Amino acid sequence: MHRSSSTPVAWHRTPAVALTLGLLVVAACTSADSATRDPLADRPSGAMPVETLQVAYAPAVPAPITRRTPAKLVVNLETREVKKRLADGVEYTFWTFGGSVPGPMLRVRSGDEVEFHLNNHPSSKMPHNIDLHAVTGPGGGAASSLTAPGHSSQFTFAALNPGLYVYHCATAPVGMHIANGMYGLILVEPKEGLTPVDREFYVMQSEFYTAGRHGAAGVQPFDMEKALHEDPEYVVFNGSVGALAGENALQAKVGETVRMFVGNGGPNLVSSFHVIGEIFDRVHTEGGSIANQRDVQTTLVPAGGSAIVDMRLDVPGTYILVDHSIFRAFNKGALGMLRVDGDANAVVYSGKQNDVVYLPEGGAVQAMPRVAAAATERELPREELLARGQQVYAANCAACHQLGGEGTAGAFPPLARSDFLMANKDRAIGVVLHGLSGEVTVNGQKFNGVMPSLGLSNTDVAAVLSYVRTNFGNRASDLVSLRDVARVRAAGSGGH
Amino acid sequence: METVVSRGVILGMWLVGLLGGGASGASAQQASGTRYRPVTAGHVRPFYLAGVADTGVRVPGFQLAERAVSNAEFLRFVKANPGWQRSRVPRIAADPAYLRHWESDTVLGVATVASAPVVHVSWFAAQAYAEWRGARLPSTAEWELAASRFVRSVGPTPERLQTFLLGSYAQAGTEAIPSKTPASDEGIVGLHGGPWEWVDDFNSVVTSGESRGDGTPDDGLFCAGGAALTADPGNFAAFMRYAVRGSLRGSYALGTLGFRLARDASPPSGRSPQ
Repeated sequence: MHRSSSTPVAWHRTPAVALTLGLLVVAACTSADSATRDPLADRPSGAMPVETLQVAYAPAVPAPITRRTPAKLVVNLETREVKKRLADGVEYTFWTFGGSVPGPMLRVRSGDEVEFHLNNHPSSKMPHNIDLHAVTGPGGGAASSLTAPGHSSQFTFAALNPGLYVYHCATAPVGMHIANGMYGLILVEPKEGLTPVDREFYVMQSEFYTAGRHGAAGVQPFDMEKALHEDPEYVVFNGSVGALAGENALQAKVGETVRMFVGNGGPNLVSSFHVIGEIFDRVHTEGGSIANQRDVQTTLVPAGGSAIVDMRLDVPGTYILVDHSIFRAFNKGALGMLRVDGDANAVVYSGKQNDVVYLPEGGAVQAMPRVAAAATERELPREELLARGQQVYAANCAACHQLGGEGTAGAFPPLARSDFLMANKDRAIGVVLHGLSGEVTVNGQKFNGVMPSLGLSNTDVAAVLSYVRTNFGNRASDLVSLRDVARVRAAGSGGH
Repeated sequence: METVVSRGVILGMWLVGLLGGGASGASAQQASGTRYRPVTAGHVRPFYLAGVADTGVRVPGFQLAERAVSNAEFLRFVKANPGWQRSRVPRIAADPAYLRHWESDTVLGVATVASAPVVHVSWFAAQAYAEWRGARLPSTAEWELAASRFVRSVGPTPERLQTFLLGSYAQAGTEAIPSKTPASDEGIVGLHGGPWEWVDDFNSVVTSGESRGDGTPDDGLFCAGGAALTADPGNFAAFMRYAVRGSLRGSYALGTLGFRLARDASPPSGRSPQ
């Protein structure tokens, strides 16, 4: 297996090359549509030139094909089972093509003949095969490539239809071979090539079903139940959490046009691929050979499918790649970054121009929906009251004030040993009932935020305040009763 | 596919005769005793099979070796039957990986643990060894029956066994150590967690390699792969074992594949097992 020597900088095509390809594209536009043309028509009657195919590992993409005649390409791809990082502190035994997830990207030209060698490493526990969606024939090659550990299979196919195709292992149980990481992309370029761009990237989404919850440390085994229920712990780009983030972010410059070859290995989820802050100028929907869409915000990438998206970069900054099924992005890992350097362009985007307090008429405080019915409320015995208070606190308060009541400096005031809280019981009840906005001083620190009205029942207000006032270092001698809360509620929110 | 099976068996018998081994070949008396454990009769549901009764196929009781054949045991075999030594075995009977983890034809070397299960052995070599020992390889049904009985050590339900197996199969490479994995309820060690094991009729399930439902039954044999033809598409662990068997040919000598001996419940007289 050869790693492409290309680097992101190296693919930045010089204007001269881009111009040449541009002319070729124009010339090719007059030829017949690829669907009505025999892709093998220009196959020579004699022997074709033979090349060893150079592959590239994500996010790198093999260089565009400059050849204008068919060739015979020899591909060697190794299957290997390796233990690698899935997230910080989390390892997984990946089954791979080429030792990486996703497997390397292959780039051929419509009309090429591909001699494929699938080599299964002797240390593999499993037999493997390959189904390339670019292959026309039974199993996409899988029927001819089941390969025992320590063995090698060969088959040959003609790349007929141009487009961006997924390849994957199809050995039983196929879902598990894919779930463990066996997929990648093969691009079949149209004979006339693709529209030239400045940079190309290889991005592939997939999900992992680990026995441990998201973030649980150690080597995580595959969980079949979660796979059957399509409920992954991880949804990632390029095989691991953070593979395209931080110092691994994709890099480009203002003024460049960037193309992403986006694949989705699945095994189950369909991706709503989106780049926050960018609009795709051109999209090859589902990885087809023509740019059939313009000006697209989010494009669907089917499991076992792809899309090609092009975007011109006008404004510097960090653009976030997400699966816009958004909990996958922020809670399961489907998040990447494209860092764009260059000069700002205030006409296209100004940046933040102002920040002022907004006070609509009728009070600044938003109310959350009421949940409990007052009719069922009653005074609770002390133990029950405090236990309920702890639950109410965890569900409604801890997100901002933290589980230990320590708050967050500069944002959320502390409740632990809080002078503001303990100074006035009725005020505290009023805050929980009606919310609070504007500047307050707590333990000598100033805070100027907004706490919404939480819509709690009188019982829950009594419970949570009784709990908070007797915990976190607060030493209230009395609890907050249902009667206290009812009295403050009846007095209304005028005091705040 | 029928022809594949019979050709394999005939070729195997021919090779055994040619290379030595078998009950009438070089003396097996030096071989140390193999400890067998009885496996009681039961039902196995063939994994790839349409049209078999839900109760499955009845497997009569038999005896299965407590442990897989070790390097030391196999070394005695090749010393007694030089035709099966690494440098002399014909390629048709064993591929180039045959016994490659040994230092030489008759020396294990420091890297090979004498008591560990022998791997890098072909099906033909395993057959010859079994005959030399007056035993045989277990059938797929026998092996699956024995390997399904882990109630005591793993748990009472098939799901528990499956979870255990998927964890064990997920370990990379050959790092699993059979002695550290649980024995079956019948006291058989290393059925799971160690190397895969040859079965007598490994090629009676022929996977096409296309695992997703092409499976048109072929002349009454169950052509593989297709989830549509499996008895239990949720049984991933069984899928994996059958995929391994389906990828093999008789000459393959994988580093993750060994074998163990079996014999009938009442061995025929006149061929007393060692």
